Amino acid sequence: MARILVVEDDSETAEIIASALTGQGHDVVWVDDGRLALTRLETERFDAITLDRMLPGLDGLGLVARLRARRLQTPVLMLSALGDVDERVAGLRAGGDDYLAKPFAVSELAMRVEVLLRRNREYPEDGFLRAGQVEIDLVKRQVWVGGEPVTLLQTEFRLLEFLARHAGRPVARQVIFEQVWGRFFEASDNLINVHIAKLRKKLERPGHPSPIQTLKGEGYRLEVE
Amino acid sequence: MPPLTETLLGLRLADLRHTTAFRLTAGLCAVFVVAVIGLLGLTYVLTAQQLFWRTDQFLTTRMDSILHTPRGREALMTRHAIDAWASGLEFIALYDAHGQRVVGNVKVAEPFPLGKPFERSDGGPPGIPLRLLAGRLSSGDVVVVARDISPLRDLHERVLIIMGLSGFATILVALVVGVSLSIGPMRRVRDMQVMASAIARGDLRHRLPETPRRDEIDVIGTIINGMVEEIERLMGQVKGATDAIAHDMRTPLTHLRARLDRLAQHAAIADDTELRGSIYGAMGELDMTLARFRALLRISEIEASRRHAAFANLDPLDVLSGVAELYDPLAEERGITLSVAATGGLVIRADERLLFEAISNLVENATKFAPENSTVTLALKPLPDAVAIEVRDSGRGIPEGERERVLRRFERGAGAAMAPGSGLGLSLVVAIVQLHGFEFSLEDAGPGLVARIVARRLR
Repeated sequence: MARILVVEDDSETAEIIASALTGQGHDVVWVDDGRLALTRLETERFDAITLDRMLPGLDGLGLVARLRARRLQTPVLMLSALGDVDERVAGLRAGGDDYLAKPFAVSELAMRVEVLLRRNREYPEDGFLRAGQVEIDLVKRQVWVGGEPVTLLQTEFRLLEFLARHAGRPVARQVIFEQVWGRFFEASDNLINVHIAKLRKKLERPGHPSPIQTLKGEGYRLEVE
Repeated sequence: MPPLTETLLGLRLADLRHTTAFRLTAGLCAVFVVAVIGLLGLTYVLTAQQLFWRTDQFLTTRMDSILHTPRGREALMTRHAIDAWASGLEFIALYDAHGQRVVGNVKVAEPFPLGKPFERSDGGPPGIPLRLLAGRLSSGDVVVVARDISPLRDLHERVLIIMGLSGFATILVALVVGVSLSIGPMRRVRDMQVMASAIARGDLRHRLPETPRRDEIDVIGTIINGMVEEIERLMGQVKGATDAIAHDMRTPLTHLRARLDRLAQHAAIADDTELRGSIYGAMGELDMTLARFRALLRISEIEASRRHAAFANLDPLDVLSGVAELYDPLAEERGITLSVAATGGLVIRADERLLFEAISNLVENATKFAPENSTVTLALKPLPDAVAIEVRDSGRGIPEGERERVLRRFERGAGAAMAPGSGLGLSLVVAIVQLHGFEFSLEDAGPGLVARIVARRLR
């Protein structure tokens, strides 16, 4: 369970965010003012922040810049009603870790918070990621499914590693595209689907269900069982 | 580095000679040169005329005194004249009726006119030009009197030298003055050019430089700065309004999206598959609307973008290879071969992320419209000062009459009506290409379509 600060001036949006994060088992604190948020962040410990770009008192960019100036490294997910070229760059430059444009799917917000929370987690001690039948050697960059070695291309490996780091949780196609390819434009769903399909084909074993599940309206999930 | 003859303090001489200052100076200089040559010429002509007239008068007087010499005393008189005219400037000779010189200190080759002054450069002391007058005596003999006119010749030469030197010096001074007077305005125009290019690229924070002199360049600068200020103010207003609309619309849409999410969860709990399907359908429609809304805002933002900070020198082959790698599985699924035909080592200046997005859009389109078992080629072609980035398919192409239209927002080619898409992809490509100052064209690949981005090439 993580402690998350939701900084949002619109109470209904705040409630939607809070309910989604609470549903994931997190402890949520809501403030509706930038200055108040800064005070809370200076005196309390939070694992992540969702931060609206436009706020009364102190705006989102100003708040994240001050946080970083005070060497507070809490991961920040910026939420903005503004378009996303200059805004994303400005948000990330000011010190934000991720950026989500409104309106967003609640599941995508929850997913992005999870990605942020896991980003700072330590490298697994033995250098292996395991999810169900899938085993990944992060050092030698090798993969086994049910003990059988599987040869993956570089991109396929990165894709599987990302899914494995979020195993058991749904990840949206756009999140996959941004995190695996490092590109921030809207890719067609089909583009991600064919990459997943290629990976899935390599991971499939006769008589076993595919370790990668498609979740309608949400994205994909690497099974942990 | 260009040779000094081509540049002066970083300015091209060819450009300098087109400046108003240079042309005015050159014009004034030409008038001055003509005036100097005219004045000197007139002075020379009048002076020479006067001197010749005096010489002829002198010769006539001398001739008159000899013609009145008593008959039979001509030779004596000539001898006497040779002795008397000891200045070395005057000469005399007596020829008999057969043209044989009887006596004299000048020898004139026949024929020569009688009673009319003429010039010879031989006959007297070597190198001395003479003006002569010949007359027939009553005895039938001919007497010739002459005068040294080398001072007149010297005057002629000196005047020519003075005219040449003064003309050359005037032209030289005019060139130096013209160039030095032109450098200042040219530098200011060059600075204005740099700023104006930045403004034209969308960075409205720049202003043209102005000086306290308030000359004509400053007046133009002030007018343009006023226009840019007004455009910036209006753009700010439009952007502010767009942002406000975006903000106001997105918040209720977020609420709507969240409520649909919740409804879907309730439907799942109630195990109402039909209701859940309908809700997902509604969410899908809403997401598509929102995606178009985002794409529109994105195009507007790129068009008004100031994101030149992300520009860097890059090899377009790296971008092409990245796009090909990303789209290879999608092409493969559609039975299309994606090939890259290019050489590396070319350098352009671009925002890698935006260029990648633009080429991705073109490849996405090409794979959408290319027939099965065909090839989509990504090519780089070096041009003299540019690089052509081409995406070529062998689909049905776009008729020439539609090529301009499909670049506009929401416009789609007649052949694309059944294919999925929003009609915003090519508008986005155009916005990105224009932000870079590149050129974009759609051409016939016979069969198929070539989408071509022509980027400036760095050496």
